[in-house]
Amino acid sequence: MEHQSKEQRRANNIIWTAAGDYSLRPDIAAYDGAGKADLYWNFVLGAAHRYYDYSLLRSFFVHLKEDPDYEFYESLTWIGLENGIYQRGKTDRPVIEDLRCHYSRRLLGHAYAPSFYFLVDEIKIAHFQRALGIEPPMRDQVRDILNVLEFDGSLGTEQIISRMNEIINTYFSFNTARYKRNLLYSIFSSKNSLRFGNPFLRFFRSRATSRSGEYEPLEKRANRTRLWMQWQIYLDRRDKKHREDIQNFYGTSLLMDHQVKTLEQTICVGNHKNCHYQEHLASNNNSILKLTHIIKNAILVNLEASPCRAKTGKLIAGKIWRNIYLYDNKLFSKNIPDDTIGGLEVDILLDASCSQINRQERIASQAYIIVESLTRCKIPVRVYAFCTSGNYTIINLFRDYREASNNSQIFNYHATGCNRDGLAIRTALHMMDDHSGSHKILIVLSDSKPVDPQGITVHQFKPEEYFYADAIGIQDTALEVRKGRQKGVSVLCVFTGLDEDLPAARKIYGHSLVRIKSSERFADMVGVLLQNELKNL
Amino acid sequence: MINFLREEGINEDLITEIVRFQKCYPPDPDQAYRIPKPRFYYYGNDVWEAAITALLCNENLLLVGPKATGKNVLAENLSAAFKRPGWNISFHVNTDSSMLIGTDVFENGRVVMRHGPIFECAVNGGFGILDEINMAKNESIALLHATLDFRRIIDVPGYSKIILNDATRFIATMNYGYAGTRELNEALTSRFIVIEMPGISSIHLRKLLIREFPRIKPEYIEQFTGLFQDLQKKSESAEISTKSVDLRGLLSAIHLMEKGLPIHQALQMGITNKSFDEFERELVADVIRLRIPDRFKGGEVFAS
Repeated sequence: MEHQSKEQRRANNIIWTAAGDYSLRPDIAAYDGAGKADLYWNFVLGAAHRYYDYSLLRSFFVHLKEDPDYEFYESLTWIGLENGIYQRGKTDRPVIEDLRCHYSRRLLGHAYAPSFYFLVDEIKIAHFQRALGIEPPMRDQVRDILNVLEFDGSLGTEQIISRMNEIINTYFSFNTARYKRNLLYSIFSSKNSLRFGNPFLRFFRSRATSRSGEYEPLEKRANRTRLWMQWQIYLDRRDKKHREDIQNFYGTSLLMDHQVKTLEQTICVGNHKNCHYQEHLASNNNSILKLTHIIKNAILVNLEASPCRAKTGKLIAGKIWRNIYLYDNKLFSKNIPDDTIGGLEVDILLDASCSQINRQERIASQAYIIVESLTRCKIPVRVYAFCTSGNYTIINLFRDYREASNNSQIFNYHATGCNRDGLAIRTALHMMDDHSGSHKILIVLSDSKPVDPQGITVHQFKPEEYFYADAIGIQDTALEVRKGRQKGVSVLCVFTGLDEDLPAARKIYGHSLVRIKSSERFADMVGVLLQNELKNL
Repeated sequence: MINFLREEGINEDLITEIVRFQKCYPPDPDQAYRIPKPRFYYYGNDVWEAAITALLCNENLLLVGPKATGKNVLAENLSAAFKRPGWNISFHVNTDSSMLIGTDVFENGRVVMRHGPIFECAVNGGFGILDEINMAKNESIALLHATLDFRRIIDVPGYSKIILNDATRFIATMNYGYAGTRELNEALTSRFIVIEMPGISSIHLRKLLIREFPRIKPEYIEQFTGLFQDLQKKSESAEISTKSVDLRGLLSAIHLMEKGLPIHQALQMGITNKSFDEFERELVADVIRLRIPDRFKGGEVFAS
């Protein structure tokens, strides 16, 4: 898995280099038979973005998908585009002449015997033989197709597309679709795409769009959330009896109209585990390294070194007698920089409410990055998630201060239920009270959208309640954060939500807030936040 | 140096001012050996003009930028352009005022003051280059505050008060994000005019390569420039660290090629291997392979 994601990242990097544009998300990448990113073809894929109007090409490919044989046509188009890109690119990068020859030789060395040719391979092989300066023997149709297909560098995107349409119309669909296919099968015995034909080059479509919830249509997402909620309500009902037995340590009322029912510690197993993390393994590892580096640097810069007696260093004249009479060699003083901060404890609180459901993998990864970085800096850290279900606010502990090997438990995080942020923060602060650490930091990963059907009583003697959401919820949460700060706990927020909730987050957490715009910048942003906090210790 | 500035098309008024400055403060023959003879020239007219103007106006300069943006090259070039002796002072975490101003030493039976570089620079009207100023602890260099602001003095308790020579300027350099660097505090920063050093542009890199390697073939200048830009872009997009975006490394690699080392081996030593992460090295190698054919020997880069 790691290997695959590495090669994927390598392929993307080649594409970006060729395109000169890192904002694009490659929808297709090329790998050789051994699953390695193919240098030349990925260059071609990337250069297509540079030399042609890729949005036009993309819509052309979408149009091709209407035909069941679209892979064939797509491969054909790429052969043509390769020629155009080569013509245009060789002045910018003379090296591609070499890369092309090298690729051609490799391709021809591995090609199947002629009787097994698929049409697209036959065209392709003939094309790359021409690239090597050989005019191979080929069928007339193939020669005709190839002659029009090898686009000249001067052609624009629109011209290429119209040329491609012409080719398809002339050679492949001069009658109905059914006839077309039969005829082709009869002429060439078979045609197929690169998928089966050529062991040497495989295109893989990026599956990012189908995997990440962010790109799902809104209705679908809402539907899934609703089903999830229903399932959760069902589970809640089923477990209610059982839970009552387990929850044997009720707390007394902390909020004026609530009873804080429990500090329930459960470890639930999510179905997503750490797959999202693995998917972005390389960049996440980078983030961990970067963040560790930033934290270590902050500690290095901000902490005083502690002097101690040593065998080398600055001579302490007053101690010389110890050597003479006690044979003590440690007559020097040396400053040993501390690489740990004494008494610092960090708690990480994850918002596990339903609103986070579409980004739970990302949140788990982000939490893991922070925890792993802090662990590497030998800072004790505890991680838990909270959500509210009915009258219960559930605190789900993943890793306690001393469980340095339990970091991967964070991937058990999953989002369910509502969130009563104020109560959760109050609970977290309460839990932190029990520990003796002299400096405490609470990092909340939240979308700052408190919602709980259980309201807040308007007045002691009135039965009405305010709904715990929006302004009321935000105000209550903000109040809890302020209380925490008065106690001397630094409360920081890594904002995971949408733009529209940002003002709310600012209201709650003030300046101790970072918003993660891109995962690449995650380590830097969180690093700055922690750095500022460590400086003030 | 003045000729170089003219060639580069620096504002003629500024050049006239520099010449006037030189006449006003002729170099002391004893210190003449300290006037730098630049090995490299800094390219970038905006930065040049900003820096010259600031120095003419009696300001101190703080050059901020990532590595290989030419901070020290510019500082040295400025010292040479104004024909002032230069003092290079490298700051580190234990730098304190005694290292900068001077320290008491025992000589010939009595305690005397041995002057530090800042002191020497101040007295002789030199250009003090404070390298990596943010490595030092802010508190330990607070003594420089009076030196760097309008007071222009060094007051050493129990010794004497020195007024800075009129020609004295300080040029500090700093880089964010290295291990051990810290934020410069406001009091110190406010005593400098800050120039944010841009990364080298392709036009300037081309000029640099031509000047540095007169025999290099034009097509290779294009490819090396392109290679450096590709790496820069990759690092800006956080795909690789800045380790391999190394201008010094590129120049060294071309030097190795001049001696006949195969191109790829030279680039590997100068650029790829600067990164210690295996995967990152692979990404960098891909960028190189998209610029330079595998089979080439070093000698082919240069016209005979």
